[in-house]
Amino acid sequence: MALVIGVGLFFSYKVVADAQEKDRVVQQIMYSTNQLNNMVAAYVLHHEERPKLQFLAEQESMGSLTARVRFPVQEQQLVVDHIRGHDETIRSLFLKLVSSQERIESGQDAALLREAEELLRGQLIIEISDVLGDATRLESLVDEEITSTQRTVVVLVIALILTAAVSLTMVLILTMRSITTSLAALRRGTEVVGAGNLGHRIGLAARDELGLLARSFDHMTERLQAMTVSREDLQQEVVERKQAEVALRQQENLYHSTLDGMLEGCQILGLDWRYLYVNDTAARHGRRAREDLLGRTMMEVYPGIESTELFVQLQRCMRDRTSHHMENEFTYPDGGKGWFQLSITPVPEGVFMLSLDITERKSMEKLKDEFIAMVSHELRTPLTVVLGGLHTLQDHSSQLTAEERDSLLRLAYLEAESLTDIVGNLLELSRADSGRLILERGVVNMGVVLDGALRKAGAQYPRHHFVAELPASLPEVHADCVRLERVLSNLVDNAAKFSPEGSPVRVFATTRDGEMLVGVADQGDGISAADQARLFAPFERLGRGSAGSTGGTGLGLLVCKRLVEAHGGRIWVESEVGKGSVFQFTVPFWPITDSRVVER
Amino acid sequence: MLVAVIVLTGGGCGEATPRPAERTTIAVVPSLFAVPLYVAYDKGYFSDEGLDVNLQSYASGPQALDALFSGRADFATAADTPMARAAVDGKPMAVIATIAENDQAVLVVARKDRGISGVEDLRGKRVGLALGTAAEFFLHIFLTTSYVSPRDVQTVNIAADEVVDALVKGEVDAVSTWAPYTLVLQDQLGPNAVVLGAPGIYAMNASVTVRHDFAANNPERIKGFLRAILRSNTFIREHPDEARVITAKYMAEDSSLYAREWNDYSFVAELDQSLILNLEGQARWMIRGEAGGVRRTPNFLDFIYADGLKAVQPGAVTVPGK
Amino acid sequence: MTRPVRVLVADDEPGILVFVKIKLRGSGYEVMTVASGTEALEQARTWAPDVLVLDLIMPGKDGYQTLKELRSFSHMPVIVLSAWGEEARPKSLELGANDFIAKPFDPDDLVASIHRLTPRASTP
Repeated sequence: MALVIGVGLFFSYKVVADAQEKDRVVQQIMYSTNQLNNMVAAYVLHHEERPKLQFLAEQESMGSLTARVRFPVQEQQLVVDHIRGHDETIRSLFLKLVSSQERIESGQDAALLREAEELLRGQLIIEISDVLGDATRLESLVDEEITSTQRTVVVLVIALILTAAVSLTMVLILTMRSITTSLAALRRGTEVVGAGNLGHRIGLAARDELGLLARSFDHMTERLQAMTVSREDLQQEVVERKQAEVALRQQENLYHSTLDGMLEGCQILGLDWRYLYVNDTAARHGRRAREDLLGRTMMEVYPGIESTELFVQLQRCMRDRTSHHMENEFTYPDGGKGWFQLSITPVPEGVFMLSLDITERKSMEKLKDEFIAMVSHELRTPLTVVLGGLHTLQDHSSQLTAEERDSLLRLAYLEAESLTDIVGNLLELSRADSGRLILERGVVNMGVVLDGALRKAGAQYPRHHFVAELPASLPEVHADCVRLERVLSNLVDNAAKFSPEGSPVRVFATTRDGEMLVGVADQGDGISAADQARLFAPFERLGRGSAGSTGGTGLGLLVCKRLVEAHGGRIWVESEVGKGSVFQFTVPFWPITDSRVVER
Repeated sequence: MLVAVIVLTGGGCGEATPRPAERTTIAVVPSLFAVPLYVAYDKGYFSDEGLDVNLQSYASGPQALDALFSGRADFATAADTPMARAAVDGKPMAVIATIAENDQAVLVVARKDRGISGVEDLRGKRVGLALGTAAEFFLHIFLTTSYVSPRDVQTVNIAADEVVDALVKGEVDAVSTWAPYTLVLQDQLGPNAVVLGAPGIYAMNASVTVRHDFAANNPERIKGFLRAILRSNTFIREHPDEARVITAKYMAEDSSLYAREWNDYSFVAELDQSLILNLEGQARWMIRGEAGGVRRTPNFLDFIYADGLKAVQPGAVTVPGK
Repeated sequence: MTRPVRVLVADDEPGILVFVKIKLRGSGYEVMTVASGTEALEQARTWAPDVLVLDLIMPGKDGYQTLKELRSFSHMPVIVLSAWGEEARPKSLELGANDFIAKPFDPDDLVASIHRLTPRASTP
């Protein structure tokens, strides 16, 4: 409402200002009118130019003024229009007056002209005074307007003051009430919350200090509530987490048991090199107990590991998150060594290492390498004789005696035979090992076999003394003749090689326990018990004899073993160091089914 | 709150008159000068002021004044010419207010077929008019200020309401008269009519007058009368069309006739110095025209009753000395 | 007249000794053959060969041992023969052998080597 009054006041003041402006206009008109009056009088007096010009100028100015102004009040504007109308009449009357004066001077009917002049002047004065009257009336109208407006202003001001007073009183009352209400709400709120109801809010929207206090209080209550809620939530979370842990552990256990049971070693190293997981196999590979490993770092458990290739690869895996494979020879604290095939993989926790024990394979490989080396060496010696002998023969045949020529040829031939034996042994071994050994059984006269073997040996080892011991009649045996020959040949060969020149080599055959028993006895250095155990093992290079070694691989004996056992027989040695050796084998008279052998 | 404001600002609304309505007769000359009277009468403003009004029509101002001075009317309207005559003759006139003005009210309507096309052609012609009325003064001032000697023009006395017939019949060559007669003649003569006038030459006023004794004894009635007139003027200002319709009721002429000249009239309620000057000027002309006696120009201040108007609207009286 | 170059050949394989002897004789060398490291050392001292051809595999003292002991008292050129292949070369040379020939070998290579290692002696 104050706004309305204020607007009213503003307009009132505006009206007053306008009215005062109008008043000025009116004053101007009245002044102009007076001037017109004076000018007419002056002109009529002397009929001079100056008053005439001044009259016309003043008349024009008044004319333009009345044309220009706008009085919003219709009544007032009508008066102004009226004045303007009169103003125009005044002009025309004056001009007529002037023209009549000119006529007089031109000497026309003087009496008429004088009367005309008088009448015109009279009318002019009437008009001018009319305007004056109108102007005066206008002035009073404007004054009335001002007065009434001023009265309105006073009223409005009083109204404003009254409004202000009333409003102030009301505001005061309302404020007082609001404060009382707020205080009550505040007190009640604190009581309720204090009693334990954290959901209660005072909810004061007031913008004063009490409202702020109430809102702070509510805020505090809210926080308390949230904390209580969050504590419950926390407990809930703990329960859930425990459950999750249990589930996780169950899952872990599942994986653990999977990994635990693997034949390969599984271990997980954390990024800090601590053993996080070690299965039994891995522990075994590392020759440590699981408990000794878990939680400790690799460096602690195996000092010096940092300098190994294994460590380098592990490091690379940790750092670059790349997978690696490697074969690693691991030296144990006790000095022992083992070969492991390792698979190193990055996992989120750190590094996973799979280990496969290939020690045996490695040693096998080593033995195989050695065997191959040995065999190739074994072959080279006879080859040298053959090649060298024949070469010499060729180069120097003219210089050679017949004797020399003969001996070279003979040597070449014998060595070539020796080569044939070796190659033959190799082939048989290959067949036997790959299950392709097929016995060609037939009726075999052992005596003939013995004879054949001895004859061969005699040629090869002329300085040795070979004896055959046979009973009068020896039953025939169902066996592979060629293979038996080989067995015997190998044994005799060995006997000759490992016994001194001139010493006898005795070959015998007999029956015993329903089987054929064949043996080769020599008077060499003998074989120690320890060596005996290794005799028939693959790739075993047996250094028979007192010191050092002579040629000969375990090839021959191994082949013997295979062939004898293929027949269903047994082979063994009886020997003492310094007392020579007796190699014996048995051959059943009739075939015994052996799964390893395919019978024809 | 709002009620209080009204109480404080509410100005003088009319108080209800406690006295019983007084019978009042007003002598009116039917012309546009009487419009405020017709409106006040028709709208009941007079009765609001406790005046039981009886309107009487007279053809011309002198006749209306005659009715007043003979006591047949309490108020009379007339133009300045008959009032000047009344004052010169020493009648007990008290002008209470000028109610209308028009400076083109009176015109000369001539017959073209009598060889009249301009004011100079009136020389030697017969012009009919009602003597003693503004028409007479107008002709004089019109001819003189047009440098035509009035002696060269023959005036014939014809009653104001008979001028139309006279010219139409051709009894005269021209007539000097006012609206509505001027309008009727233009209609009736058509192209044969020549209207001669000089705007501004003569500003005719119509005023209301009472007798001296009446003014002394009935100040309230006069105030009431004037208040009604003021209300009329407001009404006329705000509802001109309605005012015209009301006027037509009492003048027995088509209201469309008035529309043409309506804006030339100013409806006022004032007492101006110009009235005095006007009356004086005419008085002098009358005295001079009389043969023989040299009467003095009356002091028109004695023939003005300003108290009524002053009480009702102070700013309306601008006659010095009143 | 210079005496012919003496070549001592030590190898346990009789077949090799035979043809080598024949070859070397045919090439104008004086040859003595032995079948063991012990014998080789003995003859090295007594027979005073100009060059020793030494097999690595022999009963008793093997070639390495023999070479080692030889070098303790003699700087005579030694040519090592071996069926063990090239892998035996470094050790042989390290122990003091002057040349290493792998079996099987071209007898002419042996002759060339002996010739190279015994420059002062001329061959017929």
